[in-house]
Amino acid sequence: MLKKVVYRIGMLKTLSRFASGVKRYFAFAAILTAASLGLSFIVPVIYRLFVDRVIVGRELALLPTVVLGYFGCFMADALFGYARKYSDYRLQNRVLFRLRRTLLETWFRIPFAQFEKRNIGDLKMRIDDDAGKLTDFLGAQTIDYVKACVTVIVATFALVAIEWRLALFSIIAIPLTFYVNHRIGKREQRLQEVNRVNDAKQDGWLQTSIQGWKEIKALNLQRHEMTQYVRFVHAHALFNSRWINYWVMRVLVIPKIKDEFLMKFALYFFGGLLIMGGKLTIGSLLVFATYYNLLSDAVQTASTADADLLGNMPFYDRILGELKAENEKTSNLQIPARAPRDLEIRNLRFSYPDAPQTVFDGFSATVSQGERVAIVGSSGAGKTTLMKLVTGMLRPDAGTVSWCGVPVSEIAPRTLYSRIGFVMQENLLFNLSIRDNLLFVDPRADQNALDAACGKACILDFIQSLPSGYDTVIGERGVKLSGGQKQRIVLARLFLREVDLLIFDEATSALDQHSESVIHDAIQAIGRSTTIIVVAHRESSMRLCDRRISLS
Amino acid sequence: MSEQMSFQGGVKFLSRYLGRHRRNFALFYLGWFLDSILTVISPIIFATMIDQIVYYRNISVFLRVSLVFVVMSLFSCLLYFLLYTFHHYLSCMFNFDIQRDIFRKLLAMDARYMSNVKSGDFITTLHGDTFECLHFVVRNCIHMTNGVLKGFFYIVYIYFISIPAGLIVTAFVPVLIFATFRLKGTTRTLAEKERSVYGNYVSWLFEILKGIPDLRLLSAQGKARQDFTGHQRSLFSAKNRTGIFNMTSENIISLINLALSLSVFTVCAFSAAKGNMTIGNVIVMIAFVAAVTKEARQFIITNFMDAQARLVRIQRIKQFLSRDDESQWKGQNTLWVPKGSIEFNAVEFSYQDAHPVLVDFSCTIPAGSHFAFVGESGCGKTTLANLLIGFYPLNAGSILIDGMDIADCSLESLRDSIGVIQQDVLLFDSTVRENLLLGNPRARDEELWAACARSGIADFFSSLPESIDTMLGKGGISLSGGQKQRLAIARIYLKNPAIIVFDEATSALDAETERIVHEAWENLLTGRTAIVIAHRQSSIMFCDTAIVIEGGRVVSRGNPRELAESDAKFRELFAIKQETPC
Repeated sequence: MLKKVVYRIGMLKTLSRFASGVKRYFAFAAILTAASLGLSFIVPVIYRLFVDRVIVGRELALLPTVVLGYFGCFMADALFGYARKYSDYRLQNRVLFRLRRTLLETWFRIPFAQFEKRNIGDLKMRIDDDAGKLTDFLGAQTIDYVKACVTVIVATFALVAIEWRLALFSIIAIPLTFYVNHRIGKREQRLQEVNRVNDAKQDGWLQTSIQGWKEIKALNLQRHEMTQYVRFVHAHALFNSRWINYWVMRVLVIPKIKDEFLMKFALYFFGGLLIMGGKLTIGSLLVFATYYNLLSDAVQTASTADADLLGNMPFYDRILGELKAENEKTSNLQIPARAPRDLEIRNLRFSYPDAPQTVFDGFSATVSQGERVAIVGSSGAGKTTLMKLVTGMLRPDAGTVSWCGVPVSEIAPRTLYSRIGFVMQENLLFNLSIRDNLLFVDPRADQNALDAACGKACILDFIQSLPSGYDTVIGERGVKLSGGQKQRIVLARLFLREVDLLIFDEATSALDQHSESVIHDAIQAIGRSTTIIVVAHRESSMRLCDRRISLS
Repeated sequence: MSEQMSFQGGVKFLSRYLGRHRRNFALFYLGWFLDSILTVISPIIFATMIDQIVYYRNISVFLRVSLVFVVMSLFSCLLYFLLYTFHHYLSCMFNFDIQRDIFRKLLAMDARYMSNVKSGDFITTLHGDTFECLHFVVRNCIHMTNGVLKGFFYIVYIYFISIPAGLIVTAFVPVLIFATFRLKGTTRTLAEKERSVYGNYVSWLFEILKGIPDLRLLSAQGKARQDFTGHQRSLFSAKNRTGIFNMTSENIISLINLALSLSVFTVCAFSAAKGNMTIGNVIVMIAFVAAVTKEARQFIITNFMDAQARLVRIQRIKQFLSRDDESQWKGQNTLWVPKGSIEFNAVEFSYQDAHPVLVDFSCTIPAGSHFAFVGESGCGKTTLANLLIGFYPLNAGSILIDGMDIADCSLESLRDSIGVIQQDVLLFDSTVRENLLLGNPRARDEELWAACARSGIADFFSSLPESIDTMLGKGGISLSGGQKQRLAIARIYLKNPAIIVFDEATSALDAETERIVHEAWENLLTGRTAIVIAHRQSSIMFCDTAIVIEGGRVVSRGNPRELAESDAKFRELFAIKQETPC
């Protein structure tokens, strides 16, 4: 019990760093809740007045008081409700937004190799569902939890004040509830974990199946897909069967037993005996029942909150772990303004952690500013690896790769990537409009800039011939465009920015020789202040370059 | 946006799924009906107990009534447990039926839909919308029916106790219903808007998450952040709007309920003053009035509001399931390909009406020959491959395989006879073996290895720590572009079709790997028909005939070597241009 309280406080501390500027809403919500709590204790008093004095005592004159009392409480409660909702929105939305943005930023910074291993369905769940769950701590798990606890204490006193013998009997049920909910909550937690893994797998699989629709149809894999899907659904159903029994017991059956049996029957049975013995009025008994209702609802709320806390803890911890994820060592050096834009590789040594053979062992090369160099070598010689090392996606085991005299791995990524243009073998175009795809590189580019870039990439005519022009949406993975058209948009994207170094890693391999030559001309037209490196195996690409560097 | 689905429409659509589990649902309903009876009787018995306590002070009657009450309570608790576990069982079966239909439909969707689909949206339909179907049946049909029945009983009993009170209740209930209906339209619209904003966001989110490495390399985080903030803002304001409106609606309804209760209190007070009302009756009255308003709230308000939101989602499912799909394809015959000759007759096709891609395209490919399709980017080469495997129906003309018009053949037999290798290779996050088996699910291990050997990837696979049981994809190893291609080619060997189409298959491979693959092609393509779509001269030279496509039709045809000498267009495509670009 104490552990959970400590956990909640810890969560509040963690979340408070996302809540600057809106912390006052938390206090505000707390005050409103306290006020609403007060109201909930006043209403039964009005009720007792009604039963004892107006109905049994036949004092009609008190009726207006009763009516006004109820009405007043309603208005107050409604007002509190709106105020609380407003306050919740201000606080929760702000915190949730900052939380999500921080997550995104974190993912922008983890090492490339680590990111490749992540499952997209999983990431989505974290930033969407799990983050949302954390806002529980801004309301339900903190303020409402405290409200429930306070209600328990005040209601207990009220009950004892009305009739202590009855109070004693009925309060025994409470620790029992906590205990049962706790045990069941633990079992639920374990089962939910298993299902989450399955759900993430299923989402990832569905994504692949939808994007790979062409091949699925071509291979007549529909039956196989169906079987896989059924398997996923069965796994989910299996979990649910085990989980549902616990949940039903905790959330539905046990409260019902308490409702029907304890609160209604036992209470009125013993209460009735006491009334018949003249120790209690009917009004008091009814009020007692109302306060007992309040008490057991509060207990239920508190223990549900506890069980939910247990059940959701893996999600909470996961999100927190995500936020603390290991960043790449912050590299923040800037490129010196007047240094010559030379790429220098000295005694480079590198091998992949999983693969046995060394890719580079003492490799050295220099590319001076303005040069056009082709990197050639057989498959597996390390051409793409070299490009990854040059752009900081990988770090050398020994030796240096420097740009403008600064080791690449120490240049601030933002600076580095805004001065390097990089076209790889597999380029991802987003399932968004052409304009959106282009604007990623320069959000402030105007129509003229876009037209100029597309013109240079020889795709302007094509885009203008489309009915929606730049606003045409490219299908899943750019499927509606031909390979050559996709590459030309990727190249246009590149031309939107002024870069010092351009790297083409088999960029025109998907184009027919005609389109390729047209683009090669565009590349030729790039000013000589830009250094160009081409990884190629076609003679035509190599003809662009002044010299070759051969990897063996 | 088509008209909104009505309540009856929803029931009608779901009835075909309910029908399969008729008896179970009937039993389920019976259980809830029993529960309703217990709920309704319990206050009456209870009131009797109270009257005994307060007025009659008769211990033995009191004890007997208490006993009845205890038995009823215990039975009702047991019933509750049974009903909810049964509910779960039903939900698994019911939801599964719907999800299976939705997924099956997706597999049958035509190429036009699939190239436009947003995976995030679809996944929400498959999971979220489906669960709402059963909620609709249970909460909006079963519980609502019982709620109405209970409501009637309550009102009748209230009349029985006190006619003025009955009249008051009867007057208020229509007011309540009217208020609900006025609020109905707005709730529905808001819910729909919220869902659409969310769907948009999720699709965008999936895109961005997938492309984070690319965004970093483009130094494009700025725009991603901007768009992210924009999406969050829209999400929040949609949620806020819905939330505030819901709160206001509830408050309006609560106010009406409060007025009702206070009026009834007044009637009770006056009746009690005249000596006509026992405390027991008052308790029953209050309980029943509260129950009627609770029914009105929960079953009219909540059910109609939730029902509206649910119907929107059910309609989405219905619309999805009734779309045109590949079953529109008329051909039914099984395609039999003894030789493998292909004939394109005056084929006309366009993706959109304004832009014809193929115009009077005619070409005969004799069995066993290797044809290359060349032309500028976007001239229709890949489109021809798409048409050949029946992704789109032709606007005009016909395609014959061994004399059979493919429009007369079933898509399954057509695709069985043709193997396609593209640049993007489908790979699941599972073992190498499972990815290979996609070519032929019944292949044995020896056949898998033989296929791998032919495609030149057997050595690589056998060098892996767990051989072909190694996991690929996330949580496993990733393959290079060339390795993926060779796996795809191994798949085709397993499928063993008479016709093979290479759609830019080796475009991303380096010269050396391509050479290995071409060697494998030699073996594979002996006696088979091949269509090669490529930009590499080496791939083109591999074929015995080349077709040059321009303006949607064939402009030249012949042996690639001869064309390289004699045909201007051909030379233009493969020689380096010296003039200005574009």
